[in-house]
Amino acid sequence: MMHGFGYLPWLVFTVFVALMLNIYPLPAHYSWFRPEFLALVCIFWSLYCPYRFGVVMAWCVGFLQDIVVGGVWGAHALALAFVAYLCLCAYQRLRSYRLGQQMLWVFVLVGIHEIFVNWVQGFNGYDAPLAMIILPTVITAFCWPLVIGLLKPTRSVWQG
Amino acid sequence: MGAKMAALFVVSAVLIALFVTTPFLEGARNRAVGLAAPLYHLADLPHNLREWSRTRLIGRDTLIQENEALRSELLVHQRKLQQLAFLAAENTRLRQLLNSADTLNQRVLVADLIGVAPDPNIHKVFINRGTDDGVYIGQPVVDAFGLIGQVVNVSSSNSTVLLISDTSHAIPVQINRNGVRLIAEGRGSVFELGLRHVSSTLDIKEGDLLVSSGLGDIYPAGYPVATVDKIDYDPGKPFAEVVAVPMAQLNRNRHVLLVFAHASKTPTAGAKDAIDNAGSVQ
Repeated sequence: MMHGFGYLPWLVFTVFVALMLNIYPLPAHYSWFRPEFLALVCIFWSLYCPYRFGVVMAWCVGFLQDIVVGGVWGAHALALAFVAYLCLCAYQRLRSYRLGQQMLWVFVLVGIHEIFVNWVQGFNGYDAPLAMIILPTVITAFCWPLVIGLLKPTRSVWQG
Repeated sequence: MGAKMAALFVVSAVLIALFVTTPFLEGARNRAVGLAAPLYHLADLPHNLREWSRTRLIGRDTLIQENEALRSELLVHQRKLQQLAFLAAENTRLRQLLNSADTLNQRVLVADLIGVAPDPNIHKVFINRGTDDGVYIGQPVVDAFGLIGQVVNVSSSNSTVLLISDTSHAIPVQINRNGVRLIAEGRGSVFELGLRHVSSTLDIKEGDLLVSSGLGDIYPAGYPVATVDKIDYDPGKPFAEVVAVPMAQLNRNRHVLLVFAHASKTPTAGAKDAIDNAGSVQ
């Protein structure tokens, strides 16, 4: 069922849009509430296209984010690769869950992502307060239905 | 897949270690600023369109009003400048008396902000000037009200500026009133700086203006940095807890000024037209 590279333009497009949403300028106070769209996109691709989207690809996407956002290189790369790894280990189970259960899982996965990123940024002297790690994680989890609603219908196009 | 993940862990660890502990990736980081710039330009497009429509589709009456307001503002500033010329001349004479070098003459270059680092912990901004315009690493950046920060990465036509409010930044300052030297460090909030090692007997008051002291050889002396906001003396602690508010509008600037603090590093010919001689009042 998986042949060709029909998924690739979609992958590039979604990563690009998520990256733009991640760097879209927000006022200083609101930037704490910014959801991690790139993490959501990575979780989506590793759940619904596990034969194509692997940990190396997730690492590359994270590295791209590192280069663009100007933090410690390797922070988002490591975090996204690890999140993709966890998703790939359990994608069959996660796909069968109801949306609410999936959101809980996304909350845990994005939480792990945030902890990894903050741990690595900590080497460079940056540390976010605990509330500011949990808050964007909750908001990101609530954005999961949006990502699923937008991307799942496109599967029939790229799954050829 | 587990083996792949383990390999990626090792690769990431090496990358992070290289990034944090060595200057090995410095060249790549400078180039990355140039690579990321188009994305920030794109993300800034909605704002630019709004700005464009605001300036193009403005009514004639508003324009006339704005013009009049600007003209009266200019008059006020020109009056101040008349005194400044006298003061600058007097300052030069006094400096000659003291046998010290004249430091008032500094060139500046206007730059536009093209983006802000999306992580709220990291206080960095991206501007549209690079090595082509003579920008160098460590160059001080100011706005109309005070110091903003310094250039940390520079590509051919873009650069990254580390703000004074970043947690990894500290700046040597002195109290304008009595010349006491202190260090102001960033605390990860654009609305406050912390002052280090302020002993309880030090002469410092709320409302004191802190200016850059010129020590540390990055920032030129005399630029306003912050005003002292809160002083908390705790007898049980060796130092007082002092919070200062930055003078510069760190979170609402669109235009900033790059200061050419060192005379040796002059900008290239292409950038000359944009350069304004700030010391021309002498």
